[in-house]
Amino acid sequence: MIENRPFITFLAHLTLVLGVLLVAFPIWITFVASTHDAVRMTHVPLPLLPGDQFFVNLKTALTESIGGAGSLPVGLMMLNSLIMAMMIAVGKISISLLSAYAIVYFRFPFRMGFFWMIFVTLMLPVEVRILPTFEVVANLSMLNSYWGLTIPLIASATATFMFRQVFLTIPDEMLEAARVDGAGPMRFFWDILIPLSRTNIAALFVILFIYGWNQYLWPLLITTDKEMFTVVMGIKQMLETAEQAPDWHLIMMTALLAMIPPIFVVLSMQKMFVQGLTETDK
Amino acid sequence: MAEILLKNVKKSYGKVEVIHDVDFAINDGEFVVIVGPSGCGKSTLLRMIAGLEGITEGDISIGDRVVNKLEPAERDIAMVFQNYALYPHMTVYKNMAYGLKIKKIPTDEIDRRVKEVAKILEIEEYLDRSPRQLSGGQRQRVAMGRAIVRQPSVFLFDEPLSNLDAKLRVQMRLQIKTLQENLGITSVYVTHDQVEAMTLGHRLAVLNGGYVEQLGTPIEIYEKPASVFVAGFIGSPSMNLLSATIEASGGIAILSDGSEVKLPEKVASHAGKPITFGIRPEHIATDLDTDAGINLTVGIVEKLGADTLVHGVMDDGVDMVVRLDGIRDFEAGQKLQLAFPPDMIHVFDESTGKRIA
Repeated sequence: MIENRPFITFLAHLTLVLGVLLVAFPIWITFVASTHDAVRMTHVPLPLLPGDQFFVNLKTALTESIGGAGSLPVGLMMLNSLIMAMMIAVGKISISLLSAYAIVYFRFPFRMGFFWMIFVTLMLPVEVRILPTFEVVANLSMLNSYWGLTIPLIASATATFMFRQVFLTIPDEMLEAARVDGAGPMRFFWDILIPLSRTNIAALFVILFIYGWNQYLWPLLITTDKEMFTVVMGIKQMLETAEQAPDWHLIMMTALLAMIPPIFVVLSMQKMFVQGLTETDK
Repeated sequence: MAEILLKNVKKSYGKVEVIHDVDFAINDGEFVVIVGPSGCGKSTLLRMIAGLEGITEGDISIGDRVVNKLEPAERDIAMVFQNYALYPHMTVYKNMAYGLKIKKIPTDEIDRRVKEVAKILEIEEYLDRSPRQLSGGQRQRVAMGRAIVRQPSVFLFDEPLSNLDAKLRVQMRLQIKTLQENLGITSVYVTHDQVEAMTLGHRLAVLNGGYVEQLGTPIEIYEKPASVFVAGFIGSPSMNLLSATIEASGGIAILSDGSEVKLPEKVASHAGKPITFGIRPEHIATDLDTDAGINLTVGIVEKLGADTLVHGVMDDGVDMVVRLDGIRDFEAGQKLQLAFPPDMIHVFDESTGKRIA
């Protein structure tokens, strides 16, 4: 439908612009706060325009510990977060690909039973099973380790289910052609199935990386050692200063830094992300 | 180079038997077409030869090996699928080379073979494209190329032309025929299209409900169909099949409208019994002087250019199709006198459906 009604167009744009401003405003405040010094941040009213301390704050945040508790420099916390998010995303994708492959392409006893068992775990997110999971991780002495941070979060019914659906859209003849060509199960998996699911893997990677990056409750529980703190929970720790006022300028700088990797992942994989979620043609 | 031997082959899904005791041999270098209506088990049979379906009972041998337990790749076969099943993420070149790569054939040998086959099939310029950039006919040729580069001893075709438009189908049909003759590789071709069946195969196997109804050269099957099913299935438009009774002497059939038709030979064994009487539309004559007195009231006339199909009803209301050469003008309701030349008449037992004469 082609319409030429300037007022409607104007109204639509106005609504959109207002929406963008509404969403962007907190981020702007964060940015502004990260460009002033500690003194300016304690004065009311809070500044709405950027100051000149951005690079000073950036250097402090990246290298020194912030907050009274003497936590890790932001750079190291971000590294922890990055490792955790990558391990979760890669782990979830690998496990889900394999389990979906087993469920779709292999005939074994209780196949559907296993599928439903995986599916039912959708009803049991980490928050629900947090105590028993903590107990298990503690007994396996995985507290304060990357393994403890990631393994309990790796099993994913959603991803398994999604890959199952993707595999079901791949015509049977593809498998048969590969069998006639002499490809065994693992060859078929690597040479045919993975390349055909490429966009879906990318889409899932984006979602799971952000999921992993944003983990808060689980790292908070199982890391007591400062060396293992992640940036998302680190920000919260920085507020808990006993006597002095929180270093808002540095906290906001940290928040700003913490936003970068997810944004980078989304932007760099945007095209495949959209394809992976919308493409149905195989 | 190999012959294929099917020995009492059966296939069941649970308790349902879908292939019943199929037993025939395909000679080295022969082109056999398995033809039948949808659901007759023809694809299943082909997939059993390929190793994509298990064999419930009996033996399949290729060359001198029983292949029942062998993986498809170990059977030395190549298959062309109905929807081509090209790997969408690989270029044409890689699609063709994939099987050879798995066999660990040296790269320069692969390169030589792929280019050679691409030249034969005239797909050289598409080698770097991906399948989705190709048209249906081109994809079909790539699928054939993928089969040929493997230099198998048996080719299996599963309705490879059914996704093409009519014109391309004729072209590809000729190309497949030429290729098979040049390469001399034993081939099994499954189709439901009887033109493909008649033109491609050295021999046809007509399959119905999991049974082989008849095995023979296309002309044998056309001229002497072994059963009512084969008679009705092969030939287009299909044979007119009427119920009739044999007169006491055994030499004359009495049709349902009461008219008498002389039979090619006496069938004394069925004297006085009901039979199915068959005559092909193209064998019915309209301009012969005849005493048979079979009347046809013309209904719809289809003028195809080369010939004309006349659909009509006999006096007792039974439908009949007559095929006449050239363009003929008839009006609906017009009466035609038909004659059935005795040599062209087929007689089948009514209860078993088997050919009597």
